[in-house]
Amino acid sequence: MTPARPTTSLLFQVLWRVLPAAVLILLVIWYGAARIMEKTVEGELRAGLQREAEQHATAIAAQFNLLLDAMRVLAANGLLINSLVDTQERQNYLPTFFQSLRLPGLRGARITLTDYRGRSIAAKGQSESYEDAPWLSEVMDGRDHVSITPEGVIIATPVVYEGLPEGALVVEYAARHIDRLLAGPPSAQDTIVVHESGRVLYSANPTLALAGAPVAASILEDWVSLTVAVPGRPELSLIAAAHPLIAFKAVKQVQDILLLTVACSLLALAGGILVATFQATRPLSDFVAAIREIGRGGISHRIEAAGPTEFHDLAKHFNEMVERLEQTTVSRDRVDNILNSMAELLIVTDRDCVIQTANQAALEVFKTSEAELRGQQLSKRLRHRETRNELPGLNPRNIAGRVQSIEALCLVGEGRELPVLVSAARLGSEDGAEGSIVYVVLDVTDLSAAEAARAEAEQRLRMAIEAMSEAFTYFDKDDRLVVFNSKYKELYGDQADAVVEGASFQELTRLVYDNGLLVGDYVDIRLNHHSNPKAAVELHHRDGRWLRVHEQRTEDGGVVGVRTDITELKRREAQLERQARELERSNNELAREIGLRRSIEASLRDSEAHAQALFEAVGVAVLILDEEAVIERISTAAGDLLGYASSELLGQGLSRLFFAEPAAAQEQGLWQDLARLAKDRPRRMDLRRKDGSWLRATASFGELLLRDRRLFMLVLRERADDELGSGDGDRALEALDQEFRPALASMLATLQLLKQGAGGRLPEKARPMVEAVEKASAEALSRFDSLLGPSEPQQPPTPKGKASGTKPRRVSAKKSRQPKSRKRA
Amino acid sequence: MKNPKKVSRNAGATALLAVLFLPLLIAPSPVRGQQSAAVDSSAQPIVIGLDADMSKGAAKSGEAIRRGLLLAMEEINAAGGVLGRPLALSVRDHRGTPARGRDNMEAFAAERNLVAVVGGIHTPVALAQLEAIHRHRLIYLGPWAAGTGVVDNGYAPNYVFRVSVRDEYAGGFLIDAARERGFHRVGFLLWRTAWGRSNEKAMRDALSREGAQPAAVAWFNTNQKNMRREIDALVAAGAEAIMLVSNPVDGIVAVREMASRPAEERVPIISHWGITGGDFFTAVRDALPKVDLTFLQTFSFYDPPFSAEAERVYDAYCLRFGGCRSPADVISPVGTAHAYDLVHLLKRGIERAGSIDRPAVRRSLERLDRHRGLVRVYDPPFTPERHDALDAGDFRLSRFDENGAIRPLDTASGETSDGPQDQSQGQTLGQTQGKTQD
Repeated sequence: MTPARPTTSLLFQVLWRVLPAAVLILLVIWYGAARIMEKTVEGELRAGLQREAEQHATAIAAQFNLLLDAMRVLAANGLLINSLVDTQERQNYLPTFFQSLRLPGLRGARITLTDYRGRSIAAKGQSESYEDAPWLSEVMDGRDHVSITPEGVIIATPVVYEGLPEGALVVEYAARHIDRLLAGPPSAQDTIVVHESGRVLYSANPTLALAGAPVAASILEDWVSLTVAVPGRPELSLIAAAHPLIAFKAVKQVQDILLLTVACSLLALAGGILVATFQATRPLSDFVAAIREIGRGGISHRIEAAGPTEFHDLAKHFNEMVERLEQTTVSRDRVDNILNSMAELLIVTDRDCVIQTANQAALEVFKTSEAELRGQQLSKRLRHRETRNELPGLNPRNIAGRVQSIEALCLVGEGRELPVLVSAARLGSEDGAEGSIVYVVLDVTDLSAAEAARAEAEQRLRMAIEAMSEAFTYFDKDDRLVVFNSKYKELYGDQADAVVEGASFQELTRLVYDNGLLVGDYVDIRLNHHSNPKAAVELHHRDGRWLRVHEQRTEDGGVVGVRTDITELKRREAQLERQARELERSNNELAREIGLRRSIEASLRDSEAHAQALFEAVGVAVLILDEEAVIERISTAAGDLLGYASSELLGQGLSRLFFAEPAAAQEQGLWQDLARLAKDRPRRMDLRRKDGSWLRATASFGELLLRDRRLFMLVLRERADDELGSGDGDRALEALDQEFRPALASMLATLQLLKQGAGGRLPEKARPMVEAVEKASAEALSRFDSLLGPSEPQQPPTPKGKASGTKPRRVSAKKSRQPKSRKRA
Repeated sequence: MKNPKKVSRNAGATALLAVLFLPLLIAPSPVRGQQSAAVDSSAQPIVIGLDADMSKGAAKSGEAIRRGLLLAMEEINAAGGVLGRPLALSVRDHRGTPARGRDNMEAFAAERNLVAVVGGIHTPVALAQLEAIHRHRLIYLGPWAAGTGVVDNGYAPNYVFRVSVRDEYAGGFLIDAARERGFHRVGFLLWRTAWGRSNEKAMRDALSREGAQPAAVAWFNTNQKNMRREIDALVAAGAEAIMLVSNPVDGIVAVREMASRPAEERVPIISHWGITGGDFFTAVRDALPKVDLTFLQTFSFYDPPFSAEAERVYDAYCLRFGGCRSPADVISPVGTAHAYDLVHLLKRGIERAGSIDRPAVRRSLERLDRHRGLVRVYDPPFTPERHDALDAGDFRLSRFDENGAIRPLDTASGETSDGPQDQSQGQTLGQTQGKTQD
């Protein structure tokens, strides 16, 4: 066994894996950046040096060119040239001329005019002969000469006389003046001018080189330098240099900053790793804690899904996994609980039929512990129910897959035996080998008792079914006949043999129709009804019997059918049907009578409306009173006469018009007086107006006898003191005569026509109503006649409604509206 | 003998071109010529040196002198030489610079058998050589340089002999010429050299004799590029004529400057003969029609004093150097004629001395008898007191014709004398001159 590797923290591992690489990368970057920077700066520095050196070299060349130009100009001076010829007089002007000479740039230069052999003719400064000068021939050939040596500078130019050099103008600078000739621009602070001999002619920086000294090799080694040639001066070279400590000072600083940045970056990286690791390990620690908690059984423990997405997802999925694990664990516990709580006995044996475990029910049944039970042979507990021997079917060697419901006896101890059903199944092991055998032992003691009870109940049911007066059937869900009684079988007559259990409903149906046992050919309808039983079906047998079939689908999909002999019922039903038809006919007649009555009522309503309109339109003050002297109707003229609105007096007692505060006794007395005076002539009467004043009127009082009640009409007319009557009452009576009496006559005629069958046969029920209306109309008409006198002879209306002679007068006898209380009264 | 008058001007121009391309430096060697039997061929030639401007602006003067020397030496050598020894010419070019002249003198002094040195046109060079001449006792024969001081040099014994103009005489001649032409106020335009100063003195002396002064004196330097300011000053000073003393190069500038002026501002130029020593005419050919330029001359093949001698020399000249069509083709004839006469005078001096000992020859030259030369009859040529063989009577005023030929003027009229015409005109030298003298 290999020893476990010592574990290290995640922080250490991350640091170990990331930090060295980061250090290496940053150092490489730093080194690369530093080198690139150095190269760049060095390139820029060299470019700057190049520019500086070229400027300096150009300045030197320009300086010498300027000198040469000045000397050429001077050599072309006529006086100077003339002096080559004018040997006698030249001493008179040449010395002065030369003393005044000044070449650009420097003082202290020796300027000499020589003849063609280099012999001095005149000079500024100490005279010098250049007869032996090696450059003289060059000048005498017409070329300028410039020699720059550590000892000095000599510049000579020919003096041309008539096209040929005949003398030379020589300028000579001593060694101490060379530096001023070779000095560069102020910007050239680290330049030196070196002669081809290797000696320094000019040095801008004494630390770089000393003028006159050889060029030190250290300049080229220790300094950043480059050399350029001086244009036109091949003997000179110019070295521009820069000291690395100065030139790369900024670079060094940047490199230091860069290194510091690298260090800071590393620190930041380490810090970042620390923080990131902490951020990463904290959820992991939570995970570990959660896993430990779950390992300790806290399966319901969950991890908070927070932090980065990865951890969030991890926590989420972990929680989901734990949740599934919890569900699985709970399921297993549940299974265990189920197994332990199940009533069946669960026994597990090995391949040798040795009991390994058993559930609580088995332990309880066997009254033993699992430890005692474990190791026993199953055959000690289960025996053949009949032979009391070992059950070969439960031998593991005979159980290939699953064995179900083998009846057996379970030996539970103390000599007790329980009838059981045993099922067995082989459990496969993980390695594919044959595993354990699970036996489920069902105590069927109660089941046996229940079976017996069921058989008994079934017997009683069959007897009950057989005892039924109706034919009973039960077809199972496959439409096979399962249960039926003899009544049902008898329905098949000579085909009764076909009625057996298992016969299909379809076969039996076709059998009865094909053999004419039932009237008609309704096989499909019957089958359809059987499939979807909703209502009872009546079947008509060939022998005249009627059977009513009630079918009902049971929960198990079967159909229970009850066939009742309804032959008597059908007979009664036919009788009832006939009676119903009669009744219907009566109803129809009644409906027609009702319609007619409604028509009559409508006609009456029209007459009443007509009468009301007439009543309102007449200009006579008329009051209609009931038998209790209560005003039922009042014309507008009466209201105006009394100072009331019509509505104010409706329902009021008449005494209100006679007394300021009428009392019931007074009102009764007044009414008796009025009733006594009903058939008298108009009388004077004082009535009290609304404003309290008294209306002095002439009152005419009449009685209206209706079929079911009696009304009184009071016609008022304001009178003068000497007047008993006036034309107003006559006009009111005339209006009544004109409007009511024709209408009453017309209605009476119509009723008579109805009775005579002009609108068809009058329903018997309507006839009394028509007769009542007719009687009331006749009475009203007689009242009008008694009140107004006999009417003009008039002709009864024709059936077509055409009146001959004058227009018939209509009188509405229908009572006017009044308060309900009053109507009840 | 070919008559010089038959030489056309075109032939002269051709000869001039040929001369220009001749070697300028000739090593001392016997001058070729018909050697007489008396000439000892083994004898060392007697060397005559020539020190003149052979390459610069006055190179033509040097060449003219050289040609006169050669003609004379060849004649002499043809006649048996001198003392039985041929004459040889040693030429050195001093390029007009005194320094070279001095050095040349040193070089001549070192030459063996050198008896005399013939000088050039440049007075400053001659003056600078005086010291060396007398230190080395070199006989200096002046065919051209006219500076008075060249001869009147103060050395005794004086080794300088001259067949040329003497400025002292030239000054008076030029002033007289101006007077004859009606110019009363003259201005001096002078080369700032000893020669200029020599002529200033001479002309001032001439004027002073008349109680006059120059209107103004202007100096110019050697190789001066412009003389406007100087000429303006002279004209502004009222000079009616300008007396010019210049070498050819500077003379060109002066004449061109005058020609460039408006016609009413131009004044005549009366020049010393220095302008004729180079290729002056070619350079100012276009300007000459605008400028009234006359100058001093001594000899002309158009008007020689001895036409027979002149014809002979002219023929020899043309034969020797070719390119002759007319006397106009003889470059700087004064130089040739003066040199020619000097060699003959030197021959007689050597012969009289009997050796080439230069002091002896010098003394002999001072004591020569009458000699009929090309330029004049020298009677005697020199005396111990007079080393100038010519005088003012030998001077004449001349001018260039349209072909560059130097033609003497009729001094009275100011017109050129009837000289030889162009070959096309069929006139000959002798016919035109019509003047022969003994």
